Amino acid sequence: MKDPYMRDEIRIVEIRIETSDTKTYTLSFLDKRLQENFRFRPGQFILLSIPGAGEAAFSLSSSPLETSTFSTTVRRVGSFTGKLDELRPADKLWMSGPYGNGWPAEIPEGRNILIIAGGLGILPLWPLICKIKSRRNDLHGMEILYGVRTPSNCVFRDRLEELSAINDSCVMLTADNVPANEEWEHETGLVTHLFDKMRSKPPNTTALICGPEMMMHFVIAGLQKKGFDAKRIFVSLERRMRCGFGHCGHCQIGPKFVCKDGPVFRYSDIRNLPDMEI
Amino acid sequence: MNAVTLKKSNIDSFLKNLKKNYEVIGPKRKGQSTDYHFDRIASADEMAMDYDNSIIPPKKFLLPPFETIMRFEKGRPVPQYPVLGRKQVIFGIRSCDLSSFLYLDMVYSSHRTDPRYRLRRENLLTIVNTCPDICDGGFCESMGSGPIPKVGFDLLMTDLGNRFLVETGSENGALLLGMAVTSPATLAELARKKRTISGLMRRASKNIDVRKLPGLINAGLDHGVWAEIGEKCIDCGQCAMVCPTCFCFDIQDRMEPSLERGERCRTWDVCLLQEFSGVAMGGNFRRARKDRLRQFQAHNLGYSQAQFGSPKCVGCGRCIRVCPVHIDIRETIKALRRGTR
Repeated sequence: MKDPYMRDEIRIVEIRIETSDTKTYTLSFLDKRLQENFRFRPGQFILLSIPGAGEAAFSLSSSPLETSTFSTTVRRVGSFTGKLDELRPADKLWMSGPYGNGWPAEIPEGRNILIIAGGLGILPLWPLICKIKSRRNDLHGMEILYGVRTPSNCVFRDRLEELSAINDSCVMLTADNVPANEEWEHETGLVTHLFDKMRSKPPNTTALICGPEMMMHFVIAGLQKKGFDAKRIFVSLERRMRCGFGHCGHCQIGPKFVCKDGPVFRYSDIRNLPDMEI
Repeated sequence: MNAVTLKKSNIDSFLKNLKKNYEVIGPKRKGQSTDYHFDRIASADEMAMDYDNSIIPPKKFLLPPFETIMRFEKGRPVPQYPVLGRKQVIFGIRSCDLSSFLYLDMVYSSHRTDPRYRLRRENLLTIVNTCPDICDGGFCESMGSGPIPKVGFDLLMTDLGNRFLVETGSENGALLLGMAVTSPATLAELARKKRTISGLMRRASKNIDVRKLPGLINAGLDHGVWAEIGEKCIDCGQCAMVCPTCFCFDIQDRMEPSLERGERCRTWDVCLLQEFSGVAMGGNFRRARKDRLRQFQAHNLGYSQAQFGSPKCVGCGRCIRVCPVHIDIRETIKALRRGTR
């Protein structure tokens, strides 16, 4: 019987500093065969494990087409992420996963995809962006609205700006506040302020959203006002979890387990659930 | 189902025979109180056959309150599994608690199989004792989990005065019964059991309307009853601690001061405590007591059907008996039925 609490050993290949408190860890299994066989769907997550420090769940933030390594991007906010922050390239830790359902697998070719992210909410969407980019040479049919608190909180800024340079793509960045000493050639204001310039139109668009729940609340309200159907809106949720497969009970929202029924939910399936800010 | 009778005067020798091959667990009186607990039994006289039910449910034999699932040796996790000796027989559990085992079987085999639970479960045989009466707070009859079980037991005993009527529910049960001196049940004895059960059913509280509970819960998430009982609740978490189907747990690492060795432990956790629903950066999606109490009761009554196809609550009444401020999950159902907000 396979023990779902057993972990696999991984090595930090590279650490990339994203912001003052956020790093991207490029990781690889020590066991080559495990690495070769590791596949994930955009929107899935893993549990990272450091003996003594515990475990926590993190979104996979690399392209699913990259098979020699995988990445996760972590903000230092608590005891586990603090411990993770101390690690250096070549250090080892443990993991399990991938877990969860991920973003809807098949979005028809002709369908417009609207991605709206806030803060680190861009992370679980990034693998999907990579996948779409590889499949559709130009970014026709994908629109990205990304909001951050301040420019210094913006992760993946260079990569997003690179995307926006691609022909016919539509990437809009906005910062809630721009302190005088920070450079920002993008929009200012909440992400919902971008709705006026948004190209996506309801009938042919699937909206994928991830960010703080309060932000998602206003984004969804704005989209519905514009005529978007709740069935065509997907959100990725986050709760603390201990197991990743519906046994520990921590991530329950009403009858849903975020770990195994989500983390991606069709908005129409969850809009009446309790204990959320959406 | 073949039924036999076992004289109470033969229980002692039955236990002695069981103990040759099994570890026997049974109901014991806690000190000089009217509280009972399930524990290892050395001899028949230790067993309190007049018990109503235990405070802590026998779930503890399948999911210990505290368990090491991993040890860390030089930074490497080494998985730990229960060291099982002889097979265990739990003697005299109630129908509600047997139902809780069947529920936990579903939970811990859904999506992934929990190897530690499964090892313990496969090592445990159940001898259910039909309740002599409907216990205080119990509403098993409403929840369909008692007072007698339909499936899942190895043996089922029903008190007929100076003897038990014993029915076999599995091959393991037949093996157990082979260790007892029994005689075939007469038609009169079978009829007497029937009368006993129908008498129990008559006494059962039938005023709990459990029809379409998930719908009732979903429609009543904003009902005023949650604020009302949330005001009374003192956050002690005992209701979930004594719940035989509460399956939530926490996992934490503990290290020796040298940081060279340590362990990863799994402990019971309860959604009534604020820490349970904490998220990063001090966030909490169930900061209000009423929201945590709603999670506990609504999960028991409603959410679980969508999760596992059956209600979580088995109507054992423990949460009602143990609550220091007299919050009663049956009253929540009634308030939701009344519908006034």
